[in-house]
Amino acid sequence: MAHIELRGVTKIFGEARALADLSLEIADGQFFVLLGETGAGKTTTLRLIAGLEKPTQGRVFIDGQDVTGWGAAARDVALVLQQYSLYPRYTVRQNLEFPLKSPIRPATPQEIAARVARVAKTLHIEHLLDRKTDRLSGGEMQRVSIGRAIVRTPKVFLMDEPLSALDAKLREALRAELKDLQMNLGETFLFVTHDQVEAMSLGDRIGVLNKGALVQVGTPHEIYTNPVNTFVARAVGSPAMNLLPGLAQKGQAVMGRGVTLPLEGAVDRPMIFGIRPEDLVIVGGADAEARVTDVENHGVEKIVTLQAGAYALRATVPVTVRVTAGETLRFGWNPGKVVMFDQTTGRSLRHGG
Amino acid sequence: MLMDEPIGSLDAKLREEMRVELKRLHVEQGSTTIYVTHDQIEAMALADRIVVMHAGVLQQVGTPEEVYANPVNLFVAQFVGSPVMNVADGAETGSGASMTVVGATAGFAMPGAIIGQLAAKGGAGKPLTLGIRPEAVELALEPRPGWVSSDAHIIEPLGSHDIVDFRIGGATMRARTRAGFVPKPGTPLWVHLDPTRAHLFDAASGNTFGIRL
Repeated sequence: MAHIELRGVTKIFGEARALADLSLEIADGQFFVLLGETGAGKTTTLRLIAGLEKPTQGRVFIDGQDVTGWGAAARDVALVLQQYSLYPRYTVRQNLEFPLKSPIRPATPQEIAARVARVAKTLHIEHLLDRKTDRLSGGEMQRVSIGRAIVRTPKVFLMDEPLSALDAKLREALRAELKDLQMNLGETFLFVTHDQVEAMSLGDRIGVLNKGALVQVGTPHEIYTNPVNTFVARAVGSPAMNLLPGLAQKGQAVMGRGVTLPLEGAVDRPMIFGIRPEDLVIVGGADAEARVTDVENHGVEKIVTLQAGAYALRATVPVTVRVTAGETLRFGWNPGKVVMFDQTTGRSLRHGG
Repeated sequence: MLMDEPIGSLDAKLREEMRVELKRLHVEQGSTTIYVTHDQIEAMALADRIVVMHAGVLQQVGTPEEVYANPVNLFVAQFVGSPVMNVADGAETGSGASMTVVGATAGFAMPGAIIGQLAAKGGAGKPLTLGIRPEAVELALEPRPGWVSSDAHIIEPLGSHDIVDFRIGGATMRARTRAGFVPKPGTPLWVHLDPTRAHLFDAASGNTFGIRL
């Protein structure tokens, strides 16, 4: 178990600044997810903690100890990557034994056997132990990769998009297993992904990265309901939060061309109104009018695209709501759920925008 | 127009934006499009009709709504929908009005009409697989008559809703609840399955008995 801290870390590769003055704290036993697009600095952060890169500026601490100058082997961390890092000509058992035979932390043969057995049971790969790894499916290989990481009981688990290369159904199954695993081990996990569903479902806390800077850290609930700015608002939730520029005027959100909806507790000024698709309501007699341009039926719910004045909005409604592309209907929103952002800075007014 | 997983390798957020663009293009151009994907969300979002394939064999053709609500077999049932449809081995018990999930101490009560239809379709006494989508699993935080007791194992908060994992007998099941409904892992739960949205499959063939209330 370990507490991790990055203090003012900047990383520059040649001309490119991958991370800018990043400070981050991960509590002992926490499942922490870094969410960001390709190039946001997720992998660099992970590699800095693993000791595979040295920061250009700033310090890295594990359990309060400054490990900035330490090599990867001395830090006692395990890394799981998107590409399976397995020895193809070895069996699953040999792959799992390998990390235990390290000259730095040797284990006795009895201990090795016991640990391999325990890990195989945890990951449901007992029946595969004597198979060569090049004869495994993608999901099985990724289980073995995770097994290689946990067999050693390191201080910290670092995972770089370990589920991204798997197909949808398998990804979902392994996601639940990974969360279960972390709860049982009680160890510190740092998991990086570009997939907001993974971030929300796995993380005790999520850190949202944009262009090498940490934009917000919070629980999934905080990130979802109270984003600090429009970037975070767009980064979580599917479909994304609707962001509608307009004017707050006498308790109303005025969004041009007859689109006016009620507001709660707003000061009169220009702003961007943020509303989640599930907080829009389609009901006869509601405040505004829109034309339906598309309906996606996802079985559990429908995603409806609306054109209201100059705005395209997306609403999620129960499948039982009858709505067809081309029709004109009335819609409203839940005024208590509107998040207001500054038009220039994009910052949420609740966060001082 | 033929498309083979054109957006499969993009970042999740970008994939979502491109999906909307592709649909708009299709609607504007009006050309016949065949689109291949392993991603059921893309299939549901884009298609007028979906063809579900497995190991070279066509399983089902239908609108997204049909494929989701009336899957012909277990493969289709578990391929479409996220989280996947819960399945559990079960059997109709002697009383003729309940469904027992293997390993569970208590059965889920099923209306007599379902049991009757099952008998009419030759399913009486056969090993069954019960399928139920997460949104058709109802949870309560206090005991209710006829509901089965369990406790919350994992809670996945997705913002607009939560997915709650729990165990019934040997099966792990998931329910879709409103955000924050189950406060924390370990919370005692009482579970009910909406019989109008339950699916019964022949455990041997995986084919549906086609029973609906």
